Order: sequence, then structure tokens, then C-alpha cells
Amino acid sequence: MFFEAWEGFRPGKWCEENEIDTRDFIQRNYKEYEGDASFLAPPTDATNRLWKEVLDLMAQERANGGVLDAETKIVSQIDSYPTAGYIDQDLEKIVGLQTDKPLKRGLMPFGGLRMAEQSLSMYGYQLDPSVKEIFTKYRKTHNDGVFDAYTPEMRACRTSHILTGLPDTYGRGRIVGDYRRVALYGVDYLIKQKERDKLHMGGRMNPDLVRDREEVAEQIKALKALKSMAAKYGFDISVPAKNAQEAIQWLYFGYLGAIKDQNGAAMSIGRNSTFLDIYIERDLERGLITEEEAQEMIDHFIMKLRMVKFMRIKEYNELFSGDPTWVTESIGGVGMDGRSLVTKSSFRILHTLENLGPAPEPNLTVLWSKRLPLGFKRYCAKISIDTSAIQYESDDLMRPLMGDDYCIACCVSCMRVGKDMQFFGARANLAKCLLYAINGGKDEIMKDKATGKHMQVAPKYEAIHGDDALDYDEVIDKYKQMIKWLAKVYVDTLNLIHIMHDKYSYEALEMALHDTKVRRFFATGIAGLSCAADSLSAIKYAKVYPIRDEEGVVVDYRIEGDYPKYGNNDDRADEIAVWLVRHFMRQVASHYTYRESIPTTSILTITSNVVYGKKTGNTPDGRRAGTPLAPGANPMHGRDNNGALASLESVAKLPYDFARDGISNTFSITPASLGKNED
Amino acid sequence: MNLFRNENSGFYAVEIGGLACGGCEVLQSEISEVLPSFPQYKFVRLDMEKDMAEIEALAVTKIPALILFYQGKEFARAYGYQPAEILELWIDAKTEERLKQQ
Repeated sequence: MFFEAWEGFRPGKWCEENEIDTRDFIQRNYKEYEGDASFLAPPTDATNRLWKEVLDLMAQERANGGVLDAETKIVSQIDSYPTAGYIDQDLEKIVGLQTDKPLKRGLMPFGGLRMAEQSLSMYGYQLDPSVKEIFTKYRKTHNDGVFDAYTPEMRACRTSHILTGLPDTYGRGRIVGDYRRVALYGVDYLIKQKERDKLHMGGRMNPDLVRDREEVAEQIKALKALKSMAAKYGFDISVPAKNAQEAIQWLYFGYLGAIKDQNGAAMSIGRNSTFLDIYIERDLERGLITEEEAQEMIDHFIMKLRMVKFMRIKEYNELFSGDPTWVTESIGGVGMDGRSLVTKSSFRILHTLENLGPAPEPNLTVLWSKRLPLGFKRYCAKISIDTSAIQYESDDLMRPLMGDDYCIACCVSCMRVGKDMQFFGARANLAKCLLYAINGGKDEIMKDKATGKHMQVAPKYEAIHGDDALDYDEVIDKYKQMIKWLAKVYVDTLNLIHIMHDKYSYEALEMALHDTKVRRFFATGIAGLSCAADSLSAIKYAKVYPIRDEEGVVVDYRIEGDYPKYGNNDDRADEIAVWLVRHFMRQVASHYTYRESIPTTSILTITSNVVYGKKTGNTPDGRRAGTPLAPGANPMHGRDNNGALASLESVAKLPYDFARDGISNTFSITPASLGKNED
Repeated sequence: MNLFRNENSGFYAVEIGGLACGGCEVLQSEISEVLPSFPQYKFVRLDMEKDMAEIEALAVTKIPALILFYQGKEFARAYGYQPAEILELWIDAKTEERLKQQ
């Protein structure tokens, strides 16, 4: 198989008949770069002018309360806008906007109409009545599907926030298409392969096979829509990209189609710089472009990624402390053959932080290894220190598990590009679960509207009785029972959510840019780990007396004596945290997970711990009701008294094998340490 | 006057931190790991509580901070926690740049 656009590339498995193998193309054609950053070019005049226009628009957006403009009528899909949108067409080297105007937010009701309507009204817009009618009378949403099928128990867990942040009103995200395929093969070839795959999908026509066949049909339609959308910008992406500008443009169109279609919690873009470098190097060698032009294309590409926006409700932004999109681009790493995957374009991508200034998005993530070339490591160090805008992840840790063509979805979830996807699953609150164990499944805060009494959320297990100090063994027995229940209802809830997401808000384009047979991860998460560990430690090593309200429900605790706290490199407390992670994950893994997905967990809240804390009552460690839980795997605030190193030692004991989706530890600097006053 | 301000002095790495700052403590340990690779450097630590006047004179806006001096003049500055590997690369590159200017 040969396309003219591939002239000059080394052939291999990637170009054999009916093959799609981007990794093989990269491995055979990329040029490792071991030099320094001296070749890099400053921004061109067009870049400076275009970026100024974008910055002005972003300033207007902030002045406007966070949203510059919003669509109220056209439902955002891959090809739903009748015309192309530009910032300044004469200046743009890479084109394509989510809607018809820059920074205008798209209307995405497939996840849930109420969310779309609410988010518009919060910013002073009104949903067009015709859209409301269609999505009320004729078209069901993901959110409708989930709530039709939820059991009363699932609803209660959601209301009480023992399960929080579930992707039942917003897109699950964390699915990264292999957007490079659009550039390398062109859309017609990808369609042909999907048609071929569909033809070979045989066997018993059971519900699974029907669903799989329908999904591939949707993928083919999505690819056709992508072609049509690109045509409105004047490009024929049915064929492979012929040069660097087309390669970047084709790849970006693939991603643009995905963000027009989905507003997932994290819409990461993959691992693209080494792939694009192959095209750039070919054009440079042929004398078709200069370094300035190469950098200009990359700058304009990154500019577009900085403009990715979704219309979201203010509570969502509160949950995530901002308006994140997690457009993560993974850079560098080392190949299985020992060569680093660093190219000149790895530098060019990071150089955008100098040419355009620092920015949190796209989330530029360096896959770090000691074996990366010194020149690149030095440049990373410089950009890190100058901009604080690079994320690092250990390639040495992930490569043995994932190979050398994986990327990061969101902040830490690793997956092989185009071969793995994830069912994102929010968090279960283990601190609240402990309170349920003590109170026999009654929520310590939430009251039943009908009776005015504490709501029975979990099954009515035997509560702990009496006013004596809590007995550790008794509490652990009841906690295990409650964790078993929570893990089951959590996994069941996620199964239901993901079935409905597939049914009503399927990511057809993103999945079209995956192999038809993919590996799926079933991502769960833990919130309140340190609070639960400290609470158990307090019960074990101090005396913790329950304080009951008039209903006999324990609503507070009196502690006598001190107890070891997680975060001080004290095994007595740290081992409790380790046990909790292992035990919870084992419970999760014991249940059926949708589509043979592989269960994983994370201890990863970065900001949402504040919201989880608001919904959690007083805990046996002395934490007051409503105050934040610690983020991720952090010790509770102010309790890591042995210093930051001991705190890190405690976190490092948590078993990564049981929390493969990530463990986070957030460092913060207290304002007091900056001085006592302005002067 | 601090020796790092002396125009006859050699290379100095000045770390600015405070007791109430977890990032400072960790940065300090990273610096301790890195400095043996730079025997030409002398190390000074300034504390937010004790050395306020000096820190103000350096116009430090955030801590932790690491400032490199040569012959009494600042030639590089980094803010925030950085892992040892990044610090080492950065000090190495900045030192090389500074020596080239001579």
C-alpha cells in the first residue's frame, strides 16, 4: 500500500495492506535529537499579532464574567456548524474553532439537558425552545438514561455524597483518540478499515455484538462528518497529509472533531510531537519550510489548544477549582529500543511557553527518564524554572507497563494511544464510609424529608451501641462490612453510568481513532483516605468516645489521649492507610465491571476534596464537620508534624500496584511563610 | 554584608526559605543532594523569620527561592520547589552560561 504523501518515509508494518500502526511509523522514521535549544526560533510577526488578538478576547471573556459568548441553538456536533470559524483567517496557519466564533462555547445537551440549560442561564443566556423541545420530547440524554435506571440506593449515595463527582451529568472524558491516524492515513482509509472490521464482527447476535456493530457504524459516520467539517475549512482530509502544515492541521481536525462532539472532564490530545517532527524534518530537508515557519505552525497549533473551552455550570468549576480542560500533550520518553523519543519538535512544543508565555493548558507533560538526552533535560529544567508550566511523569515507571506509545489522559492516567480507553469513575468517600459503619448505614448529616430523621443510605447493618470508647476491632469489622457494600454499589453505579454513556453520548469519533478491539480500564477513586486512616488510628491508639444526638446517631467524638497520625512516617498510622487502599481495591476488583474492563483505582483528588469535606460530618480523628478532607493521598492539614520529608515517606508507602490510576500529593506554601504583611 | 555580595567572591547558591513552608524544607533537601556536584559553590541559607531585611533587599516575591551569585552579582533565580534532577541541570546550565560571559 502506498500513498504519494508518504514519499520519503521508511516503509514497514505501518503501511502494509489493512494495517493501522502509528507507533511503527514513528519508530521507523523519527530522528532522535540530542542537541540543545539553540536552533529554536522566536515567534513570527503573524504569531505575535494573532496571539494578541486571542489575549484580547480572553481579557474580554474574563471581564464578561468568564464566558464571552455561548451558543443557544445549534447543538455542537462534529459537523453541525454550516460555516467555518476563524480568529483571523489571514494570520492563522492552523485553523478550526469549536463553534463559529473564537471562545464561543458550544451547546452540548447529549450529556444532559438540564446541565446545558443551567450553565447557559448562569451566564445570562437562554436555551432555544426548539432545542429544549427536541431533547425533552424526542431525544433522550445520558443523564436521562442514568436517572431512569438508578436504584433508590444509588440515588441516596449520590445525594449523601458518599459517592461524589460521578460522571452522570457531564461527559466522562479520559478517552484519547489517536489523532495522528488522521494525518498519517487520511480519513477514507480509516473508514475502509472500520468497514472491514464491521464486516468481520460475527458470531451470536447477542446484545453485546449488536452494540459493538452499532458503535462501529457510529464511528464510520463520525469519520465522514469529520471529513465534511474539514471541507468547510477548505481541506480534503480524506487522503493522508502531504506536508507538515497538513499533518498538524489534519491531526488538529481530529482533535477538534472530538471537542466539538464531547465535553469530557478531561479531553487530552495524546503524544504527538515526535510524530509531527517526522513531517517537519522532511519539509525542512526538502527546503519547503524554515525553522521559523516550523515553529510558527507549532505555535498556532498550541494557540488553538489554549482556546479549548466548554460551557459548564459554576458548581462544576467549583468542584475542579477553575475551568480545566486537561488538554494533556505527552512529550519525550524513551523507546523500547533504548533511543529516546525526543525530537526537535519536543523542544518546539515546550518553546511555545516562551513564545506565547506560560499557560496551564495545554497541560504539557514530559515523560521523564534519566536516559533523556542532556540537552533536552536542560531545556526542560530551564522552562520549568522560568514558567512553572511543565508537568513531569516517570516514563521509567510507566514504560514497562505501557510500552513506548502511551500518553497521559487528564493528569496521571496512562494509556496506550489508540489502544486503551478508560471509564472514568470519580471517587468513593472512605471517611464517610467509616461514619456509616459506626452508625449502621445512617447518614450523619442528611435527613429523610418525610420523617425528618437521619437518612438510612446503606443497608441497616448493626450500628455501634453504647457510650464507651469505640473498640477498634469492632469498628474494623463493621467498616469492612460497609466497605464491601460501598464497593459494590460504587461499581454497580459506574457500570450503569457507562452503559448509558455508551448508549446516549457515545464518543464515536474518539473511538473511531482507536483500534476496534480496545483494552478498557475501569477507573475508581478514593477520597478521604488520610481522614479515615487517622480516625482508625485515633480509635486504636487513643480513646474515642461517641457523642450521640437525640436519635442515638453518633454525630461527634470526644478524644482522650494522642494517637499516631498518617503523614509522619509512623508505621502505626501509615499501615492503616496502606491496608485501606489494598482492601478497598480488592473489594472493587471482586465485582463485575462493564465490557471486561480492568479495575483500577486512584487517590487523586486535587481540589474536589473541599467539596467532599463539606458533605462529611465530624470524624473520629477530631476533624470538624464540613471542613475539607485532605487532597489525594495528602496527610490531613497540619498533622504532618515531622516535616515534609516524613510526610512524603508516608505517602510513598501507599502501594502503586493497587492504585495504578495515580496517587497524588499536593504541596502548598502557607501565606504566613511569605511574610507578615505587604511591606 | 553577606559574603555572596562581595565582588571578590566566587559562586554562591543562596536559598531562601521559612519554617512554615513545606516546599522549602523539601527544596533544602534537594539542594543538599545536588550541591556536592558543584564544589565551586558555597551555600547560604536565608530564613524568612531571621533574615527579613536581606530577603527584602533581594526582592524575593515567593519562597522557596534559589538565587545564584558570582562575584557579588546575581545571575540566575528560581522560585518554587524543583526536584533535584531539574535543579542540577539548571545550576549546571546557568553556571556554564555565566562562565562563558567572562
